[in-house]
Amino acid sequence: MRFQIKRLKEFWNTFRRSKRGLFGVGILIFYISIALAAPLLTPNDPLKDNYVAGDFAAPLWFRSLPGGEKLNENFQLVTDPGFPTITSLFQEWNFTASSSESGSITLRYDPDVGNGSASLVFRRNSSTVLAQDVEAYLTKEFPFPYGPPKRFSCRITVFAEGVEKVPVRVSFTINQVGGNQSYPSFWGSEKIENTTETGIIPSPPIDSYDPEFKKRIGGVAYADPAKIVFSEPANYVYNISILFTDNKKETIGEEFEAIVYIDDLNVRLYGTAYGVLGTDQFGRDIFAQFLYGARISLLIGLIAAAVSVVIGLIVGVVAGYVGRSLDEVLMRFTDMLLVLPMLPLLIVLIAVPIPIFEDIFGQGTSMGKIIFVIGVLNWMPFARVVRSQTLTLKERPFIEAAKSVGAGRFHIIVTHILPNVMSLVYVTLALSVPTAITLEAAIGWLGLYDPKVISWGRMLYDAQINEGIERLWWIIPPGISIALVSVSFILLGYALDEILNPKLRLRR
Amino acid sequence: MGLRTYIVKRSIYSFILLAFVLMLNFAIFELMPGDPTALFANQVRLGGAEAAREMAKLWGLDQPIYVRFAVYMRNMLTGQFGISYISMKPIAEEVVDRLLNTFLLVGMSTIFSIIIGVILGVLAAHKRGSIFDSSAVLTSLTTYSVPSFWLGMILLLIFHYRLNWFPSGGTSSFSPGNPPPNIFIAISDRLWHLFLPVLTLTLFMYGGYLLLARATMLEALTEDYIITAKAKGLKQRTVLFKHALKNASLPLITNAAISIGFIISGAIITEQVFNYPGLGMWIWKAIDWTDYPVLHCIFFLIAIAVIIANFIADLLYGVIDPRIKYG
Repeated sequence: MRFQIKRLKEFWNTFRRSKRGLFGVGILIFYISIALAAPLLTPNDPLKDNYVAGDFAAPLWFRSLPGGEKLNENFQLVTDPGFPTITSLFQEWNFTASSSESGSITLRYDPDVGNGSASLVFRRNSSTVLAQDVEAYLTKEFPFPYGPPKRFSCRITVFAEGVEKVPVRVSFTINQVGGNQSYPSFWGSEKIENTTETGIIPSPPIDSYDPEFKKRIGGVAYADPAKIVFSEPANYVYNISILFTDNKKETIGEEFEAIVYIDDLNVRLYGTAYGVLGTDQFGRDIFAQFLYGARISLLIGLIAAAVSVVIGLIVGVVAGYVGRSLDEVLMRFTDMLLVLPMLPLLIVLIAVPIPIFEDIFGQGTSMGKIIFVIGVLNWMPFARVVRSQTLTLKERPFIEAAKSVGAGRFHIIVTHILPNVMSLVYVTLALSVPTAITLEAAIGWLGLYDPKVISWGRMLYDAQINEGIERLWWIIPPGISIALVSVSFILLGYALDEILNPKLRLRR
Repeated sequence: MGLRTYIVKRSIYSFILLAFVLMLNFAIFELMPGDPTALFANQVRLGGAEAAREMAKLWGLDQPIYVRFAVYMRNMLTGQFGISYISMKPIAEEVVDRLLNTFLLVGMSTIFSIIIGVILGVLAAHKRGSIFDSSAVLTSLTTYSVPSFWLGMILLLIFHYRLNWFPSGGTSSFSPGNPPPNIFIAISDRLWHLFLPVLTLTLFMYGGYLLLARATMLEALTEDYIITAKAKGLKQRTVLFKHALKNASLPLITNAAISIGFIISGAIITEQVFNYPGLGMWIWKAIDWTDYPVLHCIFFLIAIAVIIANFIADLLYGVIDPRIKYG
């Protein structure tokens, strides 16, 4: 054990002097760490969390670039959408109401309805005049000095009590302060004439991506309400209006209360800028995709390279040591496999469901399938190299000595030959990983991947399919990362080669 | 062993290889599910049941497997590739077009990358340890490790989307209904469309040649005859190219010859990026549509290309390496 540690220390000392090796290792450590730390670095799931912001959002730091001031982050209008506390209601909102001879409206907070809701109470007095229309407004002004958001959505739940005698209508909208409103209100309820058991919710939900809402605001199904409503950087006001219609003759002279509860107010403006790397076509966090994709790409690259090295090692050593006809057969077989075109075969094996494969690896493109195919197509060159090395080793005196003591073939291979080819193994392992990673990326880029798995190649596919080529923040990180990881493995391989292979040392 | 024996041996070997590869191709397609003639039977437009039966006859689909194999071999070797499912035209017509397109693309790229790679590699070996050397090695490592499709995307971004200097794909702006006015414009239009794809592929490939040339040159430059040549007072250029490179060129040439064999698969990704209608895109479309006749044909062509390339490489090896000629 001590001997091993000493050897490792010696190795590390020699390795330290190789600048290229250190550079390669440094890059690798960086990528491995961010891949492992993915859950810590981002709270978003790369595939399931749709619309963390608007789709195709730019990264947040784009806002500091020229022209980026128009970009906006996610904006939540109401901090307590459920109104669980009283403060958000009275501090953030303005309340105005008209009054009349027969009744007036007051605003109060009701902690028992829903999670707590705003309630507008129409108190009818005993006058003999009907109030006709009495209206109250709950408004909140907010500044929005940016370009239009990508998307917005509004939620509201309305309860009513005692409105049999005074039907009520609720509606809301968002207007620019001081601007011309050329569009109707976002939503208006029908006349509410009964006490509600369950809340009234706008249906379909108010969302600027909903075709009916688009038609309502913009007149045509392809209009963009976000651009129409938030047409310029300005102050905007969110306006809920409650209209009590007091015109039922049978109620003249009665005193009563009719209450409208407003709850679950959730107005959300989806940002056009988000996070470190923006969002993809479904609003998913690209940075999260990048981190989790690192895991997949690195994993597949390493394991596939390992598979190919192991197969090559076994074939090469056996062919080299056993020799004679087995050697011939194995080498011819290897040569024949070398003739096959790797990429088309790879595509065919992965894209077309071959029954035997499906049974082992399951439907579709699984990681196992990809690793297997890449590994199985890449072992040939290494087998040849190992074989020639084994051939040389076979003639060495210490092998003859072992044989004369009666050591069996298997024993000799494992105890004597293998340790001496290990340096080849390490170097080839390091140099095979870039091929595997690039192949895996190519498969992803061609779109052959399972949609449930995200890798760097898949990110590039998404970018290209959704015309994201111009979005630098989308295509540069994955591409550069593939290149950097490949370069780092190659540098690592070269450094290892220099150390372990004395023939390559600098000739003065 | 003498050159003649060597050639004979390699030729026999190539034939065996061809047979083996064809067997493998056949086996792979046998494994694939689905009845290839179902597409015909279901669509009247494609010929209906009649066409299905004809296809079945052509490929011997209703016969036992050894008959099918014999039929397959016969079809491939006599060039009877049948009709493509997608275009409903005989494959033989389309093949020539596509082959030409791909050859243009990959041929030009290979030639450029060899020339650039070898020259830069020789210079880098000559100036070993200098900034030129390190930067040459680093840049070729980088372009070599960058996935080729990403390189293509970036080049598209710069040269098409931002600068709009080059088109985004295809082979030509003209069509049968809109023919080019004269041959010069036709040729220059083709070259204009080829520029970006060739640039991508060249950038991707030159790194390998540069590194290989540099490595072999470094070894050759340490030999004693180089010192003799310098002592004789020969010009630097002569020493480098006439003496050192000649001896170092063996692996280079064999490498180049072998890479010609992988022309077709090499182009798949680049053609996909630039929407370039060559063999690469054809494979892709054929796989998408499970167009078996086309796939058979293309895989056969690939096998032939690789085997011929290997044979040429072996031939060159035998001619250049005197140990074989006289040996």
